[in-house]
Amino acid sequence: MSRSSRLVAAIVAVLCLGGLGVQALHGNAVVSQQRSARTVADALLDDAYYDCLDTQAHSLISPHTPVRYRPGVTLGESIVLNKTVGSWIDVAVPGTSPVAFLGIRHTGGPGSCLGDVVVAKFRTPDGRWITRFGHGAAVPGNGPPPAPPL
Amino acid sequence: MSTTTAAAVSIVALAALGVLPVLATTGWRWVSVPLAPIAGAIATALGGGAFLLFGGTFLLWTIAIATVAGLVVLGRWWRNPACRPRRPTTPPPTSERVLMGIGLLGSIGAACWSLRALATPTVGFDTRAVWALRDGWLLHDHAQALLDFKVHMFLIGQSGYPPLVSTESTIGWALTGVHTIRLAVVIVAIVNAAAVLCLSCGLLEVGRAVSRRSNRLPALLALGGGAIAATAIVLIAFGIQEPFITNGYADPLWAACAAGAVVFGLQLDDRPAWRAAAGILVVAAGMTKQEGLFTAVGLIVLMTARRLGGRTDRRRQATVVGAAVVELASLAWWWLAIHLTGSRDVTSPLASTRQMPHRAVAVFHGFSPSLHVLVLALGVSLLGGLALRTPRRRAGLGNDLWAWAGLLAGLGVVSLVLVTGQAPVLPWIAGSVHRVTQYPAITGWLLVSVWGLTAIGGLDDAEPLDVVGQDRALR
Repeated sequence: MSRSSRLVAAIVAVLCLGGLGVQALHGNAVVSQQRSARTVADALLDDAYYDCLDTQAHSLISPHTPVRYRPGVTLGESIVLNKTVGSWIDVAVPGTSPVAFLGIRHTGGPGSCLGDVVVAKFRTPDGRWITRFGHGAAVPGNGPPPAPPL
Repeated sequence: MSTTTAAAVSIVALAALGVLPVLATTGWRWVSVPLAPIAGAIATALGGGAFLLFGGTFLLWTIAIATVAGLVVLGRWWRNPACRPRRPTTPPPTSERVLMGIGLLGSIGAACWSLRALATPTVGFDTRAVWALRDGWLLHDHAQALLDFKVHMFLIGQSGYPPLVSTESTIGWALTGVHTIRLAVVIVAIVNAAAVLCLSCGLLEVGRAVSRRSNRLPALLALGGGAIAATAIVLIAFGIQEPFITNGYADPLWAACAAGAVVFGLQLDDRPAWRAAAGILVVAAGMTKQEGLFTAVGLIVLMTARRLGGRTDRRRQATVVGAAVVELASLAWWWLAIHLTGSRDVTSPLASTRQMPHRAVAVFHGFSPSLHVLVLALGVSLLGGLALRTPRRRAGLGNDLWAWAGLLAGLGVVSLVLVTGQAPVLPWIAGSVHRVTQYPAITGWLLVSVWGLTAIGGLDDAEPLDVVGQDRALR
């Protein structure tokens, strides 16, 4: 290797290893932000909200109850339902009647999860429809949980 | 069962599912350890596709696929003992073992330290809305699972995305009975960390390759530099990928796996163990997310072209093409399952061609702040290409242009999606830039690392000793 090549090698080595060192420190600082009080509080509130809705849904239906989301469900409502009950509910086979229609209603007040409650509409043996509200858990407050990073 | 115990059981199970194929293809190497759970995760993804297509249960299909793969390996070892993984007959020099051991311990320590972010119980939006949603579906009976993947009610096309990030946690749910999103997040984070550790192992091997073609002091410096780079890349990757690497998102896994495939398949010398490592990583990347799928196809084409370059031996050519076909078939498996079962698929209407130039400009400006590393990488690539070709060739490392082509393939895929899609581009970029630039950013830092280690080899002012002589000198 010529002297000039070795000089370039030294420059490249210092640039690269220096850059790696600086970026590694930055990366460590980014990870530390995940432990900030604000991030922890947001995460706990988000968990509490969905756990609360999950408990309410379980108070209305069991995992093997054929259900459907209520007719006219909004996209936002559907996303909350997916996140809450989507993984464990049994979807009613198309062409059959579900035992219940599920929805989310913003009622506010005590007994709600940041103001939201799970509602289920059941058909009674005499053909009437009754609406039941989920219970068994509550998260005080009003409004959606903090938006998680996208 | 606590989440910690359940996560430990799940990771051991994933490693058990993948360990034999990994040992058979990569041998007794450090990279085999983090590769084992990744290979196990591939088995779960194949099991998920088989479950959708043929019925039965997800767990049985996964175990059956891993068992068949394991029996094939054991049968091969039994018929041909020479194929069994063996330690090298001449152990590496003490200094090499010590410095690489330090690098490995540093990398593992950095990964464990970075996983402290898991103490915050963050769950990503997509984790709840898509990835963990499918965990539950895959544990339903077959008829119900098909309904879950088909019905309009859930209003999500993303459920047709490649399955690996869901299936790797579904196996944990199935084996432990702990059906919580928290468990899914922890499993995904640990497998992500394993993928990042594969990058470290790749850089340690780059350091070793440079050191073995250098005289004493540069050889030691290359090994030490490899240890530093291997540790640094873990902290860098976690920094780039937080909070998504510990909140259950799919992007970190495909990005880290695809970057690992670049190191093993396009940068290190072309040997069977590295080809196998690259193959496992590229398949994992392609089975994890849609962008990963298209990037993986690009990487497979590049790796195949590199391996075929200059080869005239027809048997070797057939082996290389055969490996590519197996990799592509693995990637096609889930896609076939989704289409043959009539499940919801990912569709996106196209923007008008008139809007595309404006969208391209927006993408360029949106991506730039996350990709400043590419300026450094381009600079050192130019300097290195002018002055450091000899030490790079001497170390047996692949041409830098292969890695750039791999990087641009992934960057091109995500850019193209944003440029041609119909959704408003600015909010789309704002909501996805930190995830979709992970792969090019990490690969950029890998390029920088490889040039840094090559440059250390370029500090040599004398002709290098031959490998045996150098090994003896180091000992």
